[in-house]
Order: sequence, then structure tokens, then C-alpha cells
Amino acid sequence: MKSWKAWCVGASALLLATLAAAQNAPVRIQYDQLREYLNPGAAPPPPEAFAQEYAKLASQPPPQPVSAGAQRAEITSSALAMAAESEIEQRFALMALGIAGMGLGGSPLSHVPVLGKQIGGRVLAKGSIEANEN
Amino acid sequence: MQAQNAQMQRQGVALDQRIMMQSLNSQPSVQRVSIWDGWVRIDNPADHTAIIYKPDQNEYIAIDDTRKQYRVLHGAGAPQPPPNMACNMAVTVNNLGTRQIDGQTAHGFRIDSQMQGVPMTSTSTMYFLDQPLPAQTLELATQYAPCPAGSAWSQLPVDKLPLYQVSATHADASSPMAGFGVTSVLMRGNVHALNDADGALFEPPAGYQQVQ
Repeated sequence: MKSWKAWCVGASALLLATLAAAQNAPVRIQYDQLREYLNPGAAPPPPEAFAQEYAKLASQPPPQPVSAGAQRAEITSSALAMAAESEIEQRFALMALGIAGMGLGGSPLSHVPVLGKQIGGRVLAKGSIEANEN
Repeated sequence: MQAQNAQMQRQGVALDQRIMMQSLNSQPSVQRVSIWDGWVRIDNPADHTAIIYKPDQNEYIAIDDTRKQYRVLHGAGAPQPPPNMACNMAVTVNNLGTRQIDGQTAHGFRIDSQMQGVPMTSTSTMYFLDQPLPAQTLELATQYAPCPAGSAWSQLPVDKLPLYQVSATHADASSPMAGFGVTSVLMRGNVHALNDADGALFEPPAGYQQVQ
């Protein structure tokens, strides 16, 4: 009886250790992700269609890089335009983000792309480091 | 001077929001995500940019492939997010079982939700990769944070990466916004393990110039 109990305790400890190790195991993976917005009524692609959808989207030519001067002008005008908008509009934008984030973020458990917001205005204004240097 | 600073700060926040809205509205988008233990790299091929997050070192590296430059940021703490509307929604979750997606085993759910106080309804189909990820890694990789424990969304596997998500949101027929609707699709695939040689992905590219 005693050995049975000891076996149970040992097995439980081993199971817990295995589970803990699985939880903390290093994760080294890579994947591709795509986002699309569909017209009303359009049928969404099935889960198995990733390869076709990815090939379709990845083959589209990327936009031409915008010159640093044009980016600076756009950022400046955007900042001035947005400064004129009311706080209500800003709150509405956040609400819209909350709604959109529900469907876009890869998780319905979401509010806003936190780090995207954090990084967005500081480093990569539409992809340019240079644009933030001035 | 303080008023001027406050105005500049407001402009900065507004610009952030605008950039966020632009990124949300840009369509379609393709990204590559690499996870290396607690580090995450997100490549944006369309913008020729990448961001490497190293939260344990409180360090982020922004890479501009167009100009072959990079910038290292230190000490950027986590910002306070605004209230999460999705967390307050009433949801019904139905289990869709298991299926193979792009060679990976995934568990599916159908989620019907109704926004409280807003005449909008949303239906989502989600399939989660059958592999748990640490919460911080998941948040970095998806750039979204989970709802608080105990919310209705906790019925879903909050520690797993969604491989497939289709969400259709529409305004209720009786609302002034009747007819408004949007369907978004998020798909993930090409999932594979990184090997030791891939560690270089998480350092600034050789030959790139560091800018301050």
C-alpha cells in the first residue's frame, strides 16, 4: 500500500514536472500571416486555403518607397490636421480600433496593437527611420 | 512652454492613432513573424521594415531595409491600453473540433458576440494552433493583449496562437447604422521551427548603419 502511494506521488510529480517543462519550453518558430478585408457578401477563404491566399498576396508588388521629404511633409500635415480634431473624434477612433481589433488582431481578446502604438510614432512612421530624425 | 509641450504630445498621440488606423485600414497585408524564445521579430515586406522585440533586455530594434539602417530603442515600457471593448462583450462559444490547417493541428471555435450598448453583432470562426505560447510572447507576436481573467473570452484557449480567424461584424437591422458591416480575415501558415543559424534574425543585419 505504501509503495502504491509512493508510486502515485512520484508519478504525479513527474507529470507536473513534464507539464511545467512544456509550459516553459523554448519556442523557436516562424510563420507567415496575412490579413484581408472582404467586401460585404464575399465568401471568406476556408482555413485550408492559406497557401493559395498567401501566394496571391505575397506576389503583389510592394508600394514604392516614399521619399524622406514627402514623408516629412505628410507627417507634418497629418499632425497639424489631427491637432485640429476634437477629443471626441479621438475617442471615436479608439472605439473603432477596439471594434476592428476584435476582428483583426489575431485574437478576439484584444484592445489595440499595443506595441504597434508604442513604436508607431517613434520609429517607423510609414516605414522610415529617416523621417523621424527630423 | 507646458502648453506647447502638451499640444505637441496631443499631436503625437493623434498621429499615432492615425498611423494605427491607416495600418488597420491598409489592405491586404502580409507579415512574417519569428519567435525565438522570448524574442519576437515581425517583418513587413510591403514596407521593407522589421521590428525585433527583446523584452527581457528592454530593447527593441527597428530595421529599415530600404535605407539599410537600424535604430535600437531602450527603456520603452509597456503603454497603458485604452479600455478593451471586446472584453465586455457577451459571447457564445461553440466548439468546432479539430482540423488540419497547413499541416498543423488546430482546434476551432465559433464565437457569436453582441456588443453591450452598441447595436452591432459579430460572428467569428477561429482555429488555434495546438501549441501553447508564453503570454508575453503571444502578445508580442500578435500585438494584442488578452482580456482579463474571468471575462467571457477566457472560454477560448488564450495561450494559443490563432491560425485562422474570420470575423464578420454588422450593425443590427434596427439601428441607424443598418447596412454597415465588415469582414476581416486573418490567416497564419508556413509554420516551421527555427534552427540555431536563425539566431542572426534577432540581431541588426550586417552592413546596416545604426542611427540614433
